[in-house]
Amino acid sequence: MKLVQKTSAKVKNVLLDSEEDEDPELDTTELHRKITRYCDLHGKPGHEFLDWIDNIDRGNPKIKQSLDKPLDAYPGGTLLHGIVRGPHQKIEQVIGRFQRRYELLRWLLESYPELYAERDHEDHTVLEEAMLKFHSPKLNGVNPFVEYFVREFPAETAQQLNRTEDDGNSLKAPIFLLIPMVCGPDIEGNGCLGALLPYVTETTLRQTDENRNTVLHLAARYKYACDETPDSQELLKRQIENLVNTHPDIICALNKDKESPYLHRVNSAREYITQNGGDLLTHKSDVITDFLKDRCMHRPIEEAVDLLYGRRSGPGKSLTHLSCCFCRWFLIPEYLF
Amino acid sequence: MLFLSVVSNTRIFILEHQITLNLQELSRGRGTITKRQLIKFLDRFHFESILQFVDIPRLILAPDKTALTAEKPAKLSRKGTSITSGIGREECLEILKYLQEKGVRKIIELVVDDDQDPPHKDTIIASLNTFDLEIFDWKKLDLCSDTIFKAAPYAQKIVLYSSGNNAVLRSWSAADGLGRFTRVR
Repeated sequence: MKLVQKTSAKVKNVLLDSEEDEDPELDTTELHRKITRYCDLHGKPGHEFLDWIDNIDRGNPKIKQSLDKPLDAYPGGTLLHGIVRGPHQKIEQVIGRFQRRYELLRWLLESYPELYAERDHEDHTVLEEAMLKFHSPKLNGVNPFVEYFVREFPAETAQQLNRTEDDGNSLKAPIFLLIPMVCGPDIEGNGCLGALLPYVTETTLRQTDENRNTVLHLAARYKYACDETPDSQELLKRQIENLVNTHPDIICALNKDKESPYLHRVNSAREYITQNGGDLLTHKSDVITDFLKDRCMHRPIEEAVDLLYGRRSGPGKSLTHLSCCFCRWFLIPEYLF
Repeated sequence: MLFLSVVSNTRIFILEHQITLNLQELSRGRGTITKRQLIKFLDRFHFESILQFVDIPRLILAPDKTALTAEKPAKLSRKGTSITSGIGREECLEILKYLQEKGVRKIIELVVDDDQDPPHKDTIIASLNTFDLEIFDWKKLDLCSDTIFKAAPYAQKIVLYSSGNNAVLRSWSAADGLGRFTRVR
């Protein structure tokens, strides 16, 4: 016991550069700054560090209370925000620093799960911070910050996504977090979507962008999420399959042009081929189109027709509906003879 | 006038795509059609590669230009030698072959009326494996599980019709009977 206290004191001294053993009025801002600096220098915090934190936590509840208070060092945010932010550097340096702080992040989120939903002065949770602040064209697909949260804390991350605006503290745009997971260029090895999907609600998957496209619409859009080679189509199909198997009704979501994801794919392919001087007649169907069509076919017939061909004229009735009603009585005899 | 307009609209659509094929109406009225008439009828449609539902009634396909009048089906089928070679019918094969040529490769639900003598041959039923079938509803008594497996190995739902024959029931319940359909829910 004595040994542990001695070790803790030693570590604390290293961190605080202080000779004092007990300081009830700890400068928490400075403490947090030093914690993160320690992690930057030494990578993951060792047992000594965690013992020290635990001892401080037990001995001084103010430390624990201070952890979710706004910090001067990271204006308007918690320590969690501070860990994700850090000084402005090149994106590679930021990622490197973030990776060295993984263990500290894990400890913080396990010890203080409520921090995950805390917002900074810009009204961002740490997940939004990770998602928005480090958006860079250099980052392919899911950025490593988001990937960390999704892999290590899928349920908590999904909980953030699932909160509606009415619930308060909602993530502003869950679709922008989901898009790179489904449509990113690194879809091959990225298991983020698989980790997150079991916890995500249908409402979240129905979130739309400014054109009212769901993430499934964007994934299905021709030449958007993959280069349409057979291999990439197969990979993307698996992602789409994951989405649709989790919440089958998202196949019925319509965008602002009243297109289902299937119709959006067909129309976007037609548009792309036309614009690039291709021949529509020689364009073959692909695994993604076939999969989406198959799922549409499993809906009730009227709905299937709407999803496959779009809503036509009339009060919600397409020509297909009319044909279904009339062809059996009037057309068959005429065609036969 | 309204009626004409509706029919006109319907025609326009029919030249687009069909997602179902229900031939029940063909079995009414005259009851017998020739192959040429059947093909002429089907030629009016453009089919999706996946069909939601195909319902084939008991049809009597007569040789061309000798369309028969409605009589007892069994008697007719014996006369129609070009259609029924040996024991068992083959009309369904004509229709399904046609669908295959039209690009159909999956039928989600296939329903075939085959409960009158003579039924389709087992070899004809087994040759359906060119389609991906999810729901297999072939209304033939005591259909062999081996034949079903050949026709629809990936079926998710199979509708069976039994005469109560104990031997057939045992073969269905055997390990190499219906137990082979791993996707049946």
